[in-house]
Amino acid sequence: MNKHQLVKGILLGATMAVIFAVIITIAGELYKVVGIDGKSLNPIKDLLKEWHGHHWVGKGIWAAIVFGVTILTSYTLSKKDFSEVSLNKYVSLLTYSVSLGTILLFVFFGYEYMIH
Amino acid sequence: MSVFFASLLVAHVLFGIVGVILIFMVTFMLLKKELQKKELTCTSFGAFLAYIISWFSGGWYYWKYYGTTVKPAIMAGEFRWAHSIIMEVKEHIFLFLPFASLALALVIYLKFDALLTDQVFRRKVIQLSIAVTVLAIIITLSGVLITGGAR
Repeated sequence: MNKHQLVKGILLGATMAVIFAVIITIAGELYKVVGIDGKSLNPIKDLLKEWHGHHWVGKGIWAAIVFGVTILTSYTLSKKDFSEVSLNKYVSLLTYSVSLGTILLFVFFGYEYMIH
Repeated sequence: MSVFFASLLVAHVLFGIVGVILIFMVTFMLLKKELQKKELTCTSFGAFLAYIISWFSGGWYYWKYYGTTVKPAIMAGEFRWAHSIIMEVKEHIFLFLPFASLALALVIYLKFDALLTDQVFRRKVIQLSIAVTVLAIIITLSGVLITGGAR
């Protein structure tokens, strides 16, 4: 087992899970269509609810899938010779994505609240 | 509220607080001059485990009880923002907090030697640990605000 590759995959997987959770959340809120009865529908949230019982549960399951698939893909495809320097970048990438994701969610839901 | 949902809520809060305390400890341990592998690994995996238990108990409560009983009460009151902003942000931060804390625990476990020898890597891991700690504090404070909004 190559620890470097595995750690890189884990950091990349967590980063992708964070990005996925933020994007699916914002897209789910913004993508709205008007139904036949004139009511506003959320196709992404409705689809997640239909598949998993609740959109939040669905987002969690798919974020876990993104996490796992990214680790597997990264571990099997990445180059064997990778240095400590590039690992530092992946730790920073996760820190930034977690911080920016949180700020983005606050701004988005704050804005949504103000306009509705 | 039934005993079952009350127990889920208590478990969600208790394990959430345990997770915050443990992740706080991880950050302080990383800031110390001398690092202990066993201590750091156990505490960081403990934080992840606490979040997972809090995730499942809180998730089940949110799915089966909050949406039908608590949310309508908040939305009918004057603290609508408690759900529309705070709860929405909290539930979605909670989606990625366990992944970030698992990544932190695995990095500490798998790359402990690099933490001892590479100061740049150690600084980056400390920054990640601080970010996860801040997230955990935000979630805890959000929970307090939502409870206030519901009351």
